[in-house]
Amino acid sequence: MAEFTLVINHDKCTGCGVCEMVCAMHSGHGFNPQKARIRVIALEGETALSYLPVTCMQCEKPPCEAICPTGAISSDPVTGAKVINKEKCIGCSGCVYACPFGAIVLDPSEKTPLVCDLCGGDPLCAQWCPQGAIEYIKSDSASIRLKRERADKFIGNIDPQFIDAKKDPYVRLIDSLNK
Amino acid sequence: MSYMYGGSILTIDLSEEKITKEPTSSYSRDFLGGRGINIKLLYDMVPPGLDPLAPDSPLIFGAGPLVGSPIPASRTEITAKSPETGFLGSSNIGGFWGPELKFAGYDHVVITGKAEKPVYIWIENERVEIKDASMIWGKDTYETQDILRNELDPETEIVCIGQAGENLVRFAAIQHRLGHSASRTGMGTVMGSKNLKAIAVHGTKEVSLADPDKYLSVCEEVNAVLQKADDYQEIHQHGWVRDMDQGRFRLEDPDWIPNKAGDILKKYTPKRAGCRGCACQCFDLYPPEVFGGGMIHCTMYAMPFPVRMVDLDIMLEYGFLCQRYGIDAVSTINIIAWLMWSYDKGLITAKDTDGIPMEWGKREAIIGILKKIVSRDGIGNVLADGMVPAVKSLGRGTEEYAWHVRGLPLYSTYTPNRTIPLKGVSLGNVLGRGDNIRNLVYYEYAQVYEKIEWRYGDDKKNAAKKTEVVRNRLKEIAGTDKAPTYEDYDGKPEIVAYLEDGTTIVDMLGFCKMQSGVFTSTVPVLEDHQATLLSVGTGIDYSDEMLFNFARKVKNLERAYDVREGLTRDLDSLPKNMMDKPLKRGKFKGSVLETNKFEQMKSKYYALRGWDVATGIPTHEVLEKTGLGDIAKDLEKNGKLPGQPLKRQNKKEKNVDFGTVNK
Repeated sequence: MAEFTLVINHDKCTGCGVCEMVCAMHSGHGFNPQKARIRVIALEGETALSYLPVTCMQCEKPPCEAICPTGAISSDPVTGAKVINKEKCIGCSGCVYACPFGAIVLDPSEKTPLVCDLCGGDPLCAQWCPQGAIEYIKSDSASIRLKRERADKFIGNIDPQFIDAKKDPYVRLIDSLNK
Repeated sequence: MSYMYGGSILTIDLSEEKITKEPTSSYSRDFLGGRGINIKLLYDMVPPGLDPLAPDSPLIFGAGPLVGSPIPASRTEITAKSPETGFLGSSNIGGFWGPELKFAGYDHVVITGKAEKPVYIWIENERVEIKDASMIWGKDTYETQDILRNELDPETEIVCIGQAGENLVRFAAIQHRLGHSASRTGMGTVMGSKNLKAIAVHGTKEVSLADPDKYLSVCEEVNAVLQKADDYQEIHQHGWVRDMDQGRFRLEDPDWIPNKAGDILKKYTPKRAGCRGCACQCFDLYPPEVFGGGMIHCTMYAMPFPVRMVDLDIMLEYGFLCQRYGIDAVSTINIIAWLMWSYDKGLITAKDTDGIPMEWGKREAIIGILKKIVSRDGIGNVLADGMVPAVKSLGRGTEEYAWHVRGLPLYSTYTPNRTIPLKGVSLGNVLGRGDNIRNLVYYEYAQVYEKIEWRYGDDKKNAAKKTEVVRNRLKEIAGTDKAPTYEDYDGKPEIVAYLEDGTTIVDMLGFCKMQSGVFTSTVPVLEDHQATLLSVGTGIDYSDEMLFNFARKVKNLERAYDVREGLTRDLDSLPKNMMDKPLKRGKFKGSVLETNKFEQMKSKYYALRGWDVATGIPTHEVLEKTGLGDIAKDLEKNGKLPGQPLKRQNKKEKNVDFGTVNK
């Protein structure tokens, strides 16, 4: 297991698409969500109001790697991110179909798979996410972190905005900045 | 070559079902972005005196060059001749539609003609289709988008009209998603008059950048500056509603303004929502259990005031209904408020309003009249024609309580208690024809921070600090030793003109006006970065000076357009009942807006702009100087230009610098 993991908390996502934009742009493109390795799926309408960012889940037993007929997909020894060997890749889309999350797409112009490379260990989507919905944290603390968040929510203790103004973390932040 | 642009201007003639495309670059060397190219197209396409709802009257959508960036820039400018006022109509919409349009390869969409039966337009990259809309005609905007998304593509972004637009209510809105709304000046009515229900867009192409890596780092800088702004965190975490609740904009009348918006947030716990690429996410997204669900931006703080509504649940309901029907919540609430004033003063009775007693803050009155207007039922048929025709038909002295500028009802919080004491706002209100975000005079609001009762955390000391920063900025702009306070008349024309140009740049680029000034007035986010963003993105050197020149050019052209439609100096005025009367209640009790001083302010502003002081018409000289020589000739032809053209000897030296854009 890699040292760090990308954790997505869809509850916090507001669907702004900043992650898509920066992901596409950091690989030398303009504004183009099609070239992004992360996409936000919006379920907005009469019945559902939620957003889910979808990207590579960094599987330990990756189906994409298993299905690739030419062995073009391998895992980065440090980050665990999937690396595509473009020389070996024949553009068969096998990995696209094999991925249970639909996280791999074919690059519309180059016809090779686009998959999250974790930006070499410092993912831009996590850096830029304004809501903190995408985080890149230590793998061993990721699971207890999720438990804590769910527990906080269960206890109803998560929303600091209605706590007494004096205890509001934002207020404390402002105070400390003003000192 | 055309970095940062989608590439084409798409023209769709609904009468002939003809679709044409031309490159944006043929316009982008002379005009800049959304608001710039839009007004040029409109000026050329609309002959003076055309009926705004005639098939020939175009409806123009324009997304600026920055649209699509991971910064708060996703705005589309919508322009047409306004069916509400008869002058220039324009409204601005955020969300996801503008970026999607650019991904499909277009910067502007121009709709002309009229379809025989209801249709919608489906744009998927190069493919543009006009399709039958019989299955969505009559549906509200939420349902329409759901049906179209299911039928076309789940990733489609849609702008559409609701029942109000279909019924040609003169102040219908164009809606997008659950709460993005281009509602002022009746753009939805123009869309309805063309039998056009919706425009659905899905794009998969790339908007290329000259230097993506550098552009990304500039975006990072912009976001970092933005997040340092005093009020950013409050809006980002809790939205506008709570902030308004604590009184930033609510100085009108503390006697009865409800301070309950915070409680609403607690009761329904909405999620944050907003536009593409924006970190702030200033909308509140309510689940379907709350009056059907939807997004709310300002209905709850701005709308209760004119109708003295205390129960904010009703305002929530009103807001969602307006979104669904696709109607301008501001014009509607103003018309309701006008009826309530008239009823209160005994000028009308329940008989005049189909048996609905127009009592202050009553749900039946507000929701009842809204539904009547949308369906043009009974009294609603009269009211749906707009404030001026409605006032005319009712008469009986009710015009005393109609707050509008050139037929456009004032933004709800800009009624007398706000407009009278803030002199810059009063001037800006007139020049922006009553539309609050047409030219934001945000430095004025920042000055009154000290008067606010902060409920959630902030304190007086902080407010004083903010005011100090803003006053220093005002000194700079007005060019005086002493910063003008909000009650001063001096220095205001300079400040208004400066902020007007700034707002125009924001609209041209497609940036968000809230974040370029309203709650970031202490840190000029865009002012410091606009030229850099554009230069890095397009690979063409833009300077601040050039951007301001483009803005002045647009301002002059917009003025010329309105002049050609019959705008004169005396139409640039506030409702009579706002002038020369001291305020009776509220925090600014005793404040007066004096007519002669107001007129002086206006004259000064005209002179600053280089317009004729007696008529408010741009002079030949200033039009020529800003590169609008052909417009000057056109005005002359229409007999609208006062005086003779000046002899120009050093014409080349006099002309301002627009750089060598795309040449």
